[in-house]
Amino acid sequence: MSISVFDNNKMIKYSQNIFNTMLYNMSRPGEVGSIKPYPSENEFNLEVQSTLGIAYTLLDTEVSFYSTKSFTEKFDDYIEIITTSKRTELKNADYIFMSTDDNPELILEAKKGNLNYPERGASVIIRGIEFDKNNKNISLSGPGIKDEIHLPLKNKYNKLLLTIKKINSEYPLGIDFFLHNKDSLTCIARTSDILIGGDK
Amino acid sequence: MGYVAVRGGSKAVENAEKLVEYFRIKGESSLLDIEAVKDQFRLGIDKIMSEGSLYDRDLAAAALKQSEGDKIEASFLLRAFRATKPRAYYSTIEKTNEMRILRRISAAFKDVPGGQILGPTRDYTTRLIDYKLFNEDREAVNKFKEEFLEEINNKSEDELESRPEFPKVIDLLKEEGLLIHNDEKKKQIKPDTDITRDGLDFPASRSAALQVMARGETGGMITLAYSTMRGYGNIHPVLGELRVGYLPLKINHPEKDEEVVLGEVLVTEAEVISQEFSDNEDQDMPVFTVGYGICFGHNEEKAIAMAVLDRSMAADSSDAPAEDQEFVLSHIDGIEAAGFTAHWKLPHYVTFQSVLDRIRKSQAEGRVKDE
Amino acid sequence: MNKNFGEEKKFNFGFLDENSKREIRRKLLKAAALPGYQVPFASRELPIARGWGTGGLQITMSIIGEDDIIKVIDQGSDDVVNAVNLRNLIARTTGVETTLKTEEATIIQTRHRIPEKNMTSDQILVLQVPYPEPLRRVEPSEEISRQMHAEKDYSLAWLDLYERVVKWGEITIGSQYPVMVNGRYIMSPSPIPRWDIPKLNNADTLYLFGAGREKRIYAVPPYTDVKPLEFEDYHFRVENFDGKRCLFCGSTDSYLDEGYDSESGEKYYVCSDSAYCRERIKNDEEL
Repeated sequence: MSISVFDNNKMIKYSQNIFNTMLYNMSRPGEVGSIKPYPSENEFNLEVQSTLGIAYTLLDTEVSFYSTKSFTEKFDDYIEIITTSKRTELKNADYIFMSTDDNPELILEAKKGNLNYPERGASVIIRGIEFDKNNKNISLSGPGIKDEIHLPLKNKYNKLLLTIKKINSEYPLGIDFFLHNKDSLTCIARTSDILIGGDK
Repeated sequence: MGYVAVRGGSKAVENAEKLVEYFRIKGESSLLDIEAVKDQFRLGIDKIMSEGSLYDRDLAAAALKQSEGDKIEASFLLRAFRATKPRAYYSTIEKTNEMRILRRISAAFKDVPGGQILGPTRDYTTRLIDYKLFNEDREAVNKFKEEFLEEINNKSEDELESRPEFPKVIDLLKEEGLLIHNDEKKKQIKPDTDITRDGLDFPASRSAALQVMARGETGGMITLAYSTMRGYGNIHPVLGELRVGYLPLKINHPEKDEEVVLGEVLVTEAEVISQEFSDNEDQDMPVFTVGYGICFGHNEEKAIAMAVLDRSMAADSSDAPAEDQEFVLSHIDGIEAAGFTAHWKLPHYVTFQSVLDRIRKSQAEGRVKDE
Repeated sequence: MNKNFGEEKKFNFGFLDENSKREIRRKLLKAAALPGYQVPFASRELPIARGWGTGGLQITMSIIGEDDIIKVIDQGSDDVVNAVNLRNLIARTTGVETTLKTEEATIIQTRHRIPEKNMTSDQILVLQVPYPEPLRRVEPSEEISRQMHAEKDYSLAWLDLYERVVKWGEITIGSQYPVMVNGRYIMSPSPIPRWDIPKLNNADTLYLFGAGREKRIYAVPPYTDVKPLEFEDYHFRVENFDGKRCLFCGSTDSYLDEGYDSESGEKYYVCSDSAYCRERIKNDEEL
């Protein structure tokens, strides 16, 4: 069954707001936008609720998802109920939910698309991101970025960033990333060149 | 200076709308009842439902009335309405053997199990305008109805009870081994895509191709099918079976493990047997393959055209237009074709200006060169 | 009959149902990550005919929120009947505010022109596209043109340009001039005049392109390289309006529409961008 019975006026507004931020930020990697947690009574913490909000905004029966062990079975069940999207293996998933506690190299298993249809590469949503606007150690450049921008994250995600660089090294194949916590979101598109601490 | 800025776009649109409404009702005739449109333009309604890709007789009747009889405009109204509806379920796959038959014929055999049931067809009428329709008499109509129903009800109990079985003609041929499925793909019975959700890739799967054709515009499809029959292609079709009847609409219950019947839909189904002349030297027998067509409502020419095109697009060569799958599937959607044909009426002066600039420049330089 | 046809049917916000919007939203995000690449989408029917802006409209309906302010133009003008029609439909199905002023709008839906005034990062331009595939004029088959994009095999496109130069001494392409985006994909900028092409390059604003009938969505993010195809010795050139000025505001540096006075038959020129023209007149009056 694929009607989302959860699409009422409040939710329509909510998902439009989140999408607005996602589109703005995917078009401008490295900038930080604001998001709100999924507005519903449930057992998840606020950050997971923001992940839910992203899932609710984008997922439906036409796409599949995978969540790492940073998420519970209940999370997967909840996604299936509110979006009617189905869980699947990492290598087949269109949307992958991770946290900064997971081994970033998991991403290497995900879909990168193919030359005829590069858009079939997965989208990865990573929660648990800690921002630090004073960190000038990570630079992004490429489409959406005027010359260069400092990715305002704490200096603890080198492994993740290197993995992203690796998986996006064969443009137009690649994966697109949404990094977030309970109220902030930033994006790394597959077009983004990542420079860490002066080394490329 | 006589120029006035092209303001008043809104006013012009408003007035145009008023004019359309005026043209629709300016005659002194009685306003059409939706029920009358529904009952007495049965085949028009069926075409609109099929091309609008929405099975709803009331809405189709309203659309036909609103569009003043313009079939493509009416289908467009239905499609736009359809776009506002969320996809709730996918129906389960139906075997059309279970069809509640209104009409069933086969041109392949003189007689077939269950018989040739002509049903309501104009095929054998002589095309003479019936002048009685200018002054249709309610009493005469009622009398005809009464007498006709009496005739039916006067049949014996046995005759009324006994409904023959209608096995598929194709199945009979299969049993005899006359139908050889060379192509494994054709055996697939599960749809692998939903073109209204996934869009259309080329080469398209058979399922995608059939979906596009099921909602295709009858005229466009007849044109292409006709081309292939006339020689722009290699299909020599024989109508294995044509059925018009009601199929149950079933879904899987979202929670329990059972099927739910939601109602019935009227469909027309055609199976065309085509004799393929294979260049393959190993083949010393001609090979029969089947082309399949089905659509909402009672629309025989469309179902037959669909079946013929199903075959022609599967042909090995693609020299003829009807054999080129991308050509056929890209151009038979009535709403798209008509919409784009109509779009030329939109202002194109900015783009035209750009072209004028180019041509004038080329000409100016050409003149300079000559001098 | 158990339907009450007398009732005004209530539309979902933005006309499309939420799942249709979800599909378009997913595709828009991918389009933003693949500048100039045409993302296929299912494309719903709308109460506007195919070929009349359903692609642009589907994008607008999927991104618009109740706080947005919408402007719709066709050939640069708000007053043209098609723009009026689309603006009314958007307003009717969303209740958002509409505007004729470029700087007030948060979303501008346009057919065949980019506004003269520079758009900002708070704005989005949604362009209606009839022919998304720039290679279509040299390759009628979708299957083959997709392959060409996949392999970055654009030799036929370049050959087309070359042949025009050889035949006419010029790259004789008026509007819909092909551009190379982010050094990777050749893209059709939609039938905007050459005049507008430089605005795509390294812009502050996000450009979204929708082709409803052909079922393609694509995007040019801000600060992206967009270069018209040209040769070293035969450059890309915008339209020439030397010696011409707008009859109303006197502008000599905007794209001008040519027209014939309906009474005198005389030729005249007027700014294509009606908002730009109005503003210039207003500023003149204030001086």
